[in-house]
Amino acid sequence: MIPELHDVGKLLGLDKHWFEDMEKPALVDGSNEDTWLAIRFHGHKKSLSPGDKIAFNELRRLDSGAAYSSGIRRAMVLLTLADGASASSRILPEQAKNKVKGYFKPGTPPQCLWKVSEPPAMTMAEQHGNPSEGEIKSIIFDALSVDSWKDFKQKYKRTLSLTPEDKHPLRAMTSLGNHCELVGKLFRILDDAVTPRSDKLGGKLFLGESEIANMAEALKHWGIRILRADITIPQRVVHAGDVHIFSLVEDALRQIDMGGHRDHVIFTASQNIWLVLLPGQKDKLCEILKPLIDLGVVVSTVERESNFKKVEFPLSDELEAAKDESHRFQMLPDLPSQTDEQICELCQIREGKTQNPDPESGVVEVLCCKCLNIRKQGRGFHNLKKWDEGPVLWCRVALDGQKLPDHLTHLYINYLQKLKYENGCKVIPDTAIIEELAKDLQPASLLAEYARDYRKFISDFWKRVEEGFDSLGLNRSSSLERITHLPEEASDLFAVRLDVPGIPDMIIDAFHDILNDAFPVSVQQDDCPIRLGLSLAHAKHPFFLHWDRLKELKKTVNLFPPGRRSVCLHLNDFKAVREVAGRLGNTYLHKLVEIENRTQSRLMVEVKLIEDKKSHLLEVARNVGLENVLGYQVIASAGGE
Amino acid sequence: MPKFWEYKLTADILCIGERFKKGLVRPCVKTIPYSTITGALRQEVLGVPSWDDKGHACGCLDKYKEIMLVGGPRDTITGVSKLPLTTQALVEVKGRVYIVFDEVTKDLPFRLDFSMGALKSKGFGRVSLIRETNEPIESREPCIGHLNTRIPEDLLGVFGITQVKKPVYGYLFKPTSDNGGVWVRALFDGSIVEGSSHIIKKEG
Repeated sequence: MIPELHDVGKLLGLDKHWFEDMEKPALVDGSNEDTWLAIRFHGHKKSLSPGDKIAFNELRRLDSGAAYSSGIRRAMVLLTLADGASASSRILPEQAKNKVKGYFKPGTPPQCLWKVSEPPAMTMAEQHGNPSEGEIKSIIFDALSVDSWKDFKQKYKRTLSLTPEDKHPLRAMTSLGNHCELVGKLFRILDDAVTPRSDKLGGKLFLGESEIANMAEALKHWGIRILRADITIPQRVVHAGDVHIFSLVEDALRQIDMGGHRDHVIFTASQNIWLVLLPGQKDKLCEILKPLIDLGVVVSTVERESNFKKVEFPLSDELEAAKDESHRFQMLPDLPSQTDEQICELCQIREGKTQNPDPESGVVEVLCCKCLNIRKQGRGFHNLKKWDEGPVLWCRVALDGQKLPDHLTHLYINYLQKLKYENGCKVIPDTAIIEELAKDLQPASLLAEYARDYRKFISDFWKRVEEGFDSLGLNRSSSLERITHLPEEASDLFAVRLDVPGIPDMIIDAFHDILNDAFPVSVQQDDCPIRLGLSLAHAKHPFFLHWDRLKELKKTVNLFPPGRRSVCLHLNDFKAVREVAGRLGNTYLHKLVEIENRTQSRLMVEVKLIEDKKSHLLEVARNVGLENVLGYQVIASAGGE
Repeated sequence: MPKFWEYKLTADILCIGERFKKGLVRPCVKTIPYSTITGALRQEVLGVPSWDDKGHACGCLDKYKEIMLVGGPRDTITGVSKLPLTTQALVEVKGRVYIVFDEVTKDLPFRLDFSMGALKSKGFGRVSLIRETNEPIESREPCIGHLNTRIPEDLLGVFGITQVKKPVYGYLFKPTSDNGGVWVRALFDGSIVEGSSHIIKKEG
């Protein structure tokens, strides 16, 4: 069975997207019969009781007497569970049914929560009205002819992304394509774990020890675990070779995302992984995270177990710590409670077994095997070793996966609050409805969609950085000499040598513009989880001091000028800082920074502004924080003006 | 419930070295670990050896500036510095120290002056501890947040930590004799814990 294809009927904009009354197409044979039944019966509630003999007979009758095992009922149960758990929301409050009427027109794209709504796309349904029998048959034919979901997706990529999974205005925020992919993943996870695979007529199904006889029992008694794994790099990177750990973590995340357990992965980003598991799959968790554990990084997990009626998600650490509803688990190397061995000087958690003399200083460091291996095999970051002089800017773009579900809930509430008479439908959700809907949000598909857009954002950001170098008069080879990563690598941590004016501003502009394009609504929120960190210092400044600043980015823009307070601001506040800086002008600001450096007093800067009859600008600068304006100037002017 | 003496700490310059170090750069800790302050308390105030089990303390830093000092150890024969060493240190330091109130510490004076941390011979780490109350403080209302110090795992209860939500582990040195010791597993700053609010970092 290709479970992803169960919802192809939604591509036609049909209210009932399963085809109970359709004759079995001629091309249905042993190879695609399961898929055909999934398309046809996944919404047909009577087919979902494994113990219900009448339903089984009805199924058989509906299918022109074709004989098939009761295993298909098992598949239908699993598909329905996967379908429900992959939807963003399954409820529609009673009040909402009366107050919120109407459906999105067929083919109207889902209302992306982090973007301004796009105009409805022209689809088959809009061009030709309701789908004809021929069009329905054609899409069924396509679905039954493909060998894999990948082939179908290739053909219908655009329509799948422009069709909402749910057409109701209150829930139309996930694309069908994304929903189908999640259903496929969850179905295969269940298929692996639920026994028996092909039972006798009326037999029961088991998930571990939990047995069920019908759909209602499955929804109530079977559990699903959503788990977030946070990665902490314990190594204090001191040598160029040590930074290799960041590349290795990226490789490990890629391996987890694409490997044999990819069905369990909702998304991976920066330093978090979101996973879906079934109860009792502790060994599976270790298998999935093995590439990271082998690296010796610390993986902390937090998870929520719930039933399939409403899938619960763990919240951010701060919110989750206040509750005792989640399970926590840490994957650590064996940590004896006491040891008389030396402790590794890099990770501080393993026994230091090897003495490693530093060729530069001759100082002997005691390292554990893991840290020593990383250092030895470390290719380091391109160019890093060559830079001896001048300022270097370390840049990190990060997605705070921990805060993402909370952020998505805020976006959803915002979306619901703004719904008014849109698409020709009277839509007025009141506070009670909004609260109930927000509580019911299952953000799995939204998480996956956000992460997908984030990956595109990173790749667009790098394209813009490449163009930026070009606009500064640096060709590709010159720009590659000044950066630690190739643009194609789309890494979220890199360093730039600042020997040409304008590079920091170019990077800030690239981040700002691409972020505004990709996440215009998200970025307006105080809890926007996408962050930029820029840490400036001399080329020989040790990396771990940069990393101390960059590992936890608190606001959207975080600047760390040397020797002064950091500038951490939301994007709108940062825009205001830049505006004020623009009004003061580079040269004048440079003077002000010099005065502050010389006198160690901001008061003197204010006096200078008053002396120069710029009191009006002093007021504006005070509003956005004069220290922020000066801090920004230090970063922006690094490398010359 | 444990009781503590709360002392306000001030120091002109303080350098408590991190375990990790690059050959040429020596970073410092941005808190007051149990091992550092307890060792100093025992030796300099209580007059017992650092491996004694009397007296327990930990501390937090509230305000400081980071500086980098460049210098280098001189060759004893030639008198020449071979390598420039960069040492991170904290200046204009303000913090708090919590000493567990018990039979041994009940008569501690209102003011304590001693040295702690690295580079003491160069004048670093001269701290003043001033107590403003006559009575020891009780454990405060428990709250959840990031631990703001480093405490050996087996002494968490002594400092009013009731639950560890998300640990950040490391090892602290525990002397067992004049010239030897072991490393004990400890909870480091940044761990999420539930406990008395005085050693939990306020966000923002």
